[in-house]
Amino acid sequence: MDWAYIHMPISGVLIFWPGLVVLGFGVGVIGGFFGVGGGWLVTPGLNILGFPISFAIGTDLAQMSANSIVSTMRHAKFGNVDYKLGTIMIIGTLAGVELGARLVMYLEHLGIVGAVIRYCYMALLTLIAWTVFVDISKQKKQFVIGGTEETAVGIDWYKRLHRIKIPPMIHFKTAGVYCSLWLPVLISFFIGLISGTLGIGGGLIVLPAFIYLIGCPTHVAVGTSLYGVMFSGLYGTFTYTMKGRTELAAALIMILGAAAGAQIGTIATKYIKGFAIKYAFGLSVIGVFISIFLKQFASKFRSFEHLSLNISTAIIFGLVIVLCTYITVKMVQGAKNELRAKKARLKTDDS
Amino acid sequence: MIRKIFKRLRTAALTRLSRKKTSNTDPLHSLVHRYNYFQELLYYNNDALKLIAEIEDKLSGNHAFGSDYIKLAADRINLSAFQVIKALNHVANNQYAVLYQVLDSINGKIDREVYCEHMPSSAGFVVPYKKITRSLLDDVGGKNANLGEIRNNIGLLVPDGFAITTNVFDAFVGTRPRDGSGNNLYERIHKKLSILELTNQVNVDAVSKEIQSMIIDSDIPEGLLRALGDAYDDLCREVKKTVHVAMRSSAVNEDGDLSFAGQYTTVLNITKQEIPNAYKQVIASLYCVPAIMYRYHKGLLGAQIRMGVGCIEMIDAKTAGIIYTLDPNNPRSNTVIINAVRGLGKFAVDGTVTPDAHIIDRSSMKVVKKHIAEKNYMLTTNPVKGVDTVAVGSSEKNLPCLTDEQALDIAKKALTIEKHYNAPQDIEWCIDRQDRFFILQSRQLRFSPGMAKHRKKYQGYPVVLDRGSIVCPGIGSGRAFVLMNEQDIIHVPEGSVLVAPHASPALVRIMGKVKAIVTDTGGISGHMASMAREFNIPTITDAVNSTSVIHHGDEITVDAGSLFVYKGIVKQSMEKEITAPSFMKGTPVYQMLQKVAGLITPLHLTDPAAKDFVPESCKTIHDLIRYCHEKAISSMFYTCDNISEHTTAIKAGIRLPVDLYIIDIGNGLKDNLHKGRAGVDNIDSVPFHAFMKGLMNKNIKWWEPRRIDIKGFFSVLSSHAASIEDHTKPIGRRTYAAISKNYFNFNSRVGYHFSTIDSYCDDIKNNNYITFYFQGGASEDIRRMRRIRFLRGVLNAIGFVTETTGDRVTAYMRKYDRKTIEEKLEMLGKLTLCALHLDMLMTTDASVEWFTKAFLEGNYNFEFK
Repeated sequence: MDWAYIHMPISGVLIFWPGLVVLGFGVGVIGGFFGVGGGWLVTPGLNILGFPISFAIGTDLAQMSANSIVSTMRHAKFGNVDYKLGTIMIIGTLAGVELGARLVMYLEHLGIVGAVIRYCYMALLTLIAWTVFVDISKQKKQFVIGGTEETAVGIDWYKRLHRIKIPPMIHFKTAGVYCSLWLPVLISFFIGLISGTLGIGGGLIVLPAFIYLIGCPTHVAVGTSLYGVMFSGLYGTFTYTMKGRTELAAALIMILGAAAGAQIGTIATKYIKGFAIKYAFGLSVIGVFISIFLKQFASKFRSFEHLSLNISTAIIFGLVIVLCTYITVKMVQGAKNELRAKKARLKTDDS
Repeated sequence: MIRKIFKRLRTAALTRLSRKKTSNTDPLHSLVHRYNYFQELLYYNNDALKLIAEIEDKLSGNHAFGSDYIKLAADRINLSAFQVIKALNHVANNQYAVLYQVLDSINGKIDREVYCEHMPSSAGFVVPYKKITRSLLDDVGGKNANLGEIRNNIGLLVPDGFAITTNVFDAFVGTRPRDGSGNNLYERIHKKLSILELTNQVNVDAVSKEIQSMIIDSDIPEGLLRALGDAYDDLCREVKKTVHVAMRSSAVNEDGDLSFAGQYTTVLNITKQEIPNAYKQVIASLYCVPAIMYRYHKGLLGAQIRMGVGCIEMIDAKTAGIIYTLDPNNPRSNTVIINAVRGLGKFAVDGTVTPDAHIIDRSSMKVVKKHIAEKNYMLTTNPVKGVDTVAVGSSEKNLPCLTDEQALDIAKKALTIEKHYNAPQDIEWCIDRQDRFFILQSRQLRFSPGMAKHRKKYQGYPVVLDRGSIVCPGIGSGRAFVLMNEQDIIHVPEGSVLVAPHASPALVRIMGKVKAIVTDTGGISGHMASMAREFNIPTITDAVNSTSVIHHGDEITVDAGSLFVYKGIVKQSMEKEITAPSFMKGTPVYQMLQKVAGLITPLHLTDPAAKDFVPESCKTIHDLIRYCHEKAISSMFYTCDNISEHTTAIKAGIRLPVDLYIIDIGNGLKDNLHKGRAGVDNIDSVPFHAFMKGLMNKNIKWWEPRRIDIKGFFSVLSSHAASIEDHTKPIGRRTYAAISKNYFNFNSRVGYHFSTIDSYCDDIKNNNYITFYFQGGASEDIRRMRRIRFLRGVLNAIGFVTETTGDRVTAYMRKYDRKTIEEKLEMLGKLTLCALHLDMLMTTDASVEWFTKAFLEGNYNFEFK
């Protein structure tokens, strides 16, 4: 099995490279399919494959920024980027990313980075899993319009709905809106911080924030957020590389897998609907959680270390493979049915 | 490089897998093509609806028509229906080809009624009046049939005479090429008509004159001449003296109105030798200028026309005149008006002499008013000249022509005719030297259009409404049910009076239950109107404000025929109304129309959501066109789905929170774009302009900082995490508006929701509609649904019919006038802006009500007081 392991030049660890391809592919499929990207999967996955946590974050940022460059260029072409908003966002993001990266380095210096980041991930994954299952249970209940739920008499319910008008107010020309400078600065700083410490992009937060909090028209929000996320990814890659914590070879292998996976994920959305896929998503989040949990506590129980590491690897890759296979199979079935229906229609048209 | 390869792979895969057909050609072409056919469909749909209304009107039996009319109407409606189906198939990509077969089968049935049961023309060339009743209308023409009916079925005195049937016309002129007597009259007339230039008055005069002299110069075949001579001899034998006669036109079909209105020639006081010539003169007047123009405007220029002629004994009148059994200018006065002059009645008809007027109250039967005019001249018969104008002696010219007793007697006789036909009459009469009273002709009295024909007011009850259009006359009373939301239709109780803002076909569901219907808008030719006539439910439309002046739950009485709505139950109205058979009913022609109309006018497909709303359920032409109209509208709703980034679109240079691209599919944009961008001034689309007016409302400050609810925002984040991306409609994609002069389709993903608006708006009410669809949002279900409830509340309040399922709402309105449609579209524009991101703020159920109220009050920025 030696052929399956390659030596990583910077981190100096031996890595099971088919694992990288599967991980990249999985991120592509899941990122293309769900609203939330695949960042939550990559850092834990790389860590479990054997990368130290700081390398996992740096490599994750590197492969993410490559993807976002492509998307941003596509959107920038249509003039949908508000460069003023984008610039403010970059400044906030850079500060956040740098702070995050320094925090990670400091924790590494203290020797507790692995544990802290893994705890953070456990918290994050719990949050995601929770929202997913709450969402499913709510949809299952199928609210009847006008149905009874707690009708807050709500004398003051609207007092909580404020307009944020802290000066200085800024006019964004392309977006066409007025807004307090602090809003985009705080949003981007927060996202930068998350990116810098956890290695995830923050696209999930930034788009709704631009639309709902700033009131930015959707098309401008999409363009501008991609633009901002690209810079935070690039800067993150830059600063982690400068700190010697990016494994570019691994990132390249993952990008290839991700590009292929994204095609499938994108097309699959046409054919897969309903609860089953959401359950699968929620379960895989829980699976990743368990993997990290095992990884974290493997060191505490020396006798089980080897076993628990193997189990966590098996779980995380098993889940990725099962989920990707499920999506791919469903997509092929859907496409086949459609082609058949099309042929049948053509036949009736002919006759 | 990699990016390029993947991009190509992805596009290839998406194209192959996507259901939409994308070709290399600009999709704009197919959009324009579909839209043009949609317009054609609306045009023919209207045409067919008008014809249906016309046929239903004929079914009332009060207008004269012949079998030719039925054939013509069947052909015209067949053509319209065919065009509607053709247009639908162009709009909907040949999905409805099966409708051609359905139309064919309905038409087969119609043809069987029209042609196989061809009425035997047993009437021969002449029919004496003593043998004529209304059943012979198709052979003898309206005026003859009328006189025969009055003489033989009412029992009043009419001059003796005979009818020259349309068979004579067929034998002389003909109704088809190579018809007639070998004189080729038909071909020659139609050749002349084909060179007619209607805008050129000189040309029209010349053509009219040439055709008339062509007819007068032709010889009547020998056999016909003999028949006419024999009929005259029989007439003389009957009255036991050699009489002079008058020749009068007696047209069949739509020309009946012209005939009565004196447009056709009448030849007075002639001898036996003059009859053939007089006949030709009368026939020739079919081509007088007013008749040609009339037929042109009715679209009947090429149609078959035939004429009967009446040949009646000339009465040497001492006194003559006209009776209106109801004052046409003031029907509410409830009086009979008798006009009288000395001598022949012509001077009273054409106004040469001011006649005496006797006004008689219909209920008390007393002369209430008399106006005796100075009558200087009179027209008398003259053996040499035919008729002659004579001065009235100075002692006589100021004397009344009628005594009060005579006037009352005449009024009574006139009312028996009214009672027989169940409609007010316009009667010509005369009294001869032996003081005998003759009826010379009688027709239904014409009022100004839209007015009640016979307004009778019941005393002692407050009138709550006195306007509108009569769809179906009659009286009905019960508790008012004011139906503001169509969804409440299931709650309408048996025996109530339905009051609704709009004449919607959905109302048919309760037509078996209600006593009367009153609506604010709707017109008299819509689907609902048609159904109401079929169910014979007293119905008033266009009452403007019935829903606000009539209170829900009040007891009211609707007298649709008189256009009065009373508060309370009017007891008198319970008395049986006169129900004598109307003029046409029971005649063979009428029965034929009934059978044919049964295949044309009834509407069975009323609910587009029902399972049986399929082509196979179309039993009549009306079903067919209704089906096509519905399907065309739903097909147009997806107009923008066929748009890709390759479609020729113009970016809008307007400050909006959407990335708007405009696609012009037919005169929707004016030229002189500014830097290739379309501004508001460039928009030349009636409905889109109205919508933009709302979207650009300066009071909606969407660019100001928004209100924020942190909990709501977190719900957005969490729902977003678990959502499946829809890559066919990604967030932030372009918003398209396909627009034309009278149409637009606006398809957008503004924020996280989808919405589509599809509307047609022009000056023809029947064409107009709005369809609105809204779905989705980013926040959790409960907030999204609250927003949907907010939308439903607003839409219902501004008059839309809504349907909601889950987090989507569909709203529509149909057949409103242009102004209303424009107003509603402006509201939709405002609503589109105000609903933006509102789901985040829908914190409680109370917020649904609060936001709905705020929007309706014009508090578009949702300021808290």
